[in-house]
Amino acid sequence: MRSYTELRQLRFLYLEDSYVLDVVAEPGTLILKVDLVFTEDHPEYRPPEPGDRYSYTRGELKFSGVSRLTWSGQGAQPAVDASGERDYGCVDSLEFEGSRYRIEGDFGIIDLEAELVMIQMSKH
Amino acid sequence: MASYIIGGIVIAGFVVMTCVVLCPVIATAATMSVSAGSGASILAAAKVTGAALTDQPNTSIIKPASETARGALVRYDADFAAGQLTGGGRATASQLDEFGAAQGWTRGQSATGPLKYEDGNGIARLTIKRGSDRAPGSGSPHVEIRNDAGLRVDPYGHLVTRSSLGNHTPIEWNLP
Repeated sequence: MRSYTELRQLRFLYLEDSYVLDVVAEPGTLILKVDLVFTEDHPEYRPPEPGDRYSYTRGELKFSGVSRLTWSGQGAQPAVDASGERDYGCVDSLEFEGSRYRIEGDFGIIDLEAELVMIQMSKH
Repeated sequence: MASYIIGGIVIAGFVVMTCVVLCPVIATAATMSVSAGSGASILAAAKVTGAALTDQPNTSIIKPASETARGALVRYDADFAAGQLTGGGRATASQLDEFGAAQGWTRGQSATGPLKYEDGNGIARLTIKRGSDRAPGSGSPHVEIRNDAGLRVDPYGHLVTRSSLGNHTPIEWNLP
């Protein structure tokens, strides 16, 4: 399979240090709520605040037109940070081949067929 | 004659009492000297002594004597030992790999993902990352640490936010 960095709409993301806050699977849709890290060549990129590793932008990684989805390896405990927020670690890998996607992280392994993947941002 | 016998008994008693008192002290001192050795011995020493390794004690994880295992100098604390290993940013990836295995945690790594150690409660205690030159500012190798309650901590046991530098403790990468 191929890396997400080959996808036009995702190639400006650094998912390996982007934190997954929630995963929502509904009929036809999969949404990962994520604190996103942008690479320096994206207009949304900002230098990190003092004391932070990166500047994070809250957003969603949304798969639509989902026709098949399996989610294995669930059950890991979420992390809790000093602010009390929970997260499921980072997106360890996101690979694709045609319309098939495979996403892996502390939340488990999600294998799906989808028509479209896109990001939606909301500055936090 | 009787005074010689009594004197002998008194001297023998003094020798026995001295041994009883001093032997544990000598043994403790010997163990602590091992603990204070080079970085290479930290893993082994941490398994034995835990709190004897630091000059910056983290009072939140030092256990009272009443909680120590019978016969042990200090109750072993994996969180404390992980902090000792990673403090100062000088730990290597292979040391962390060895450390995670020594705790009995489960090792996991996907084809392209980071190396992880998960404890028996499903908590990813160590996430060891190589970094990437795609990351802003050239992401360098680092480790993310969670304590036994699943809280993100830095090497000194302080709670940290996920975005903070404290959640990205630098390491040296020496794995393939």
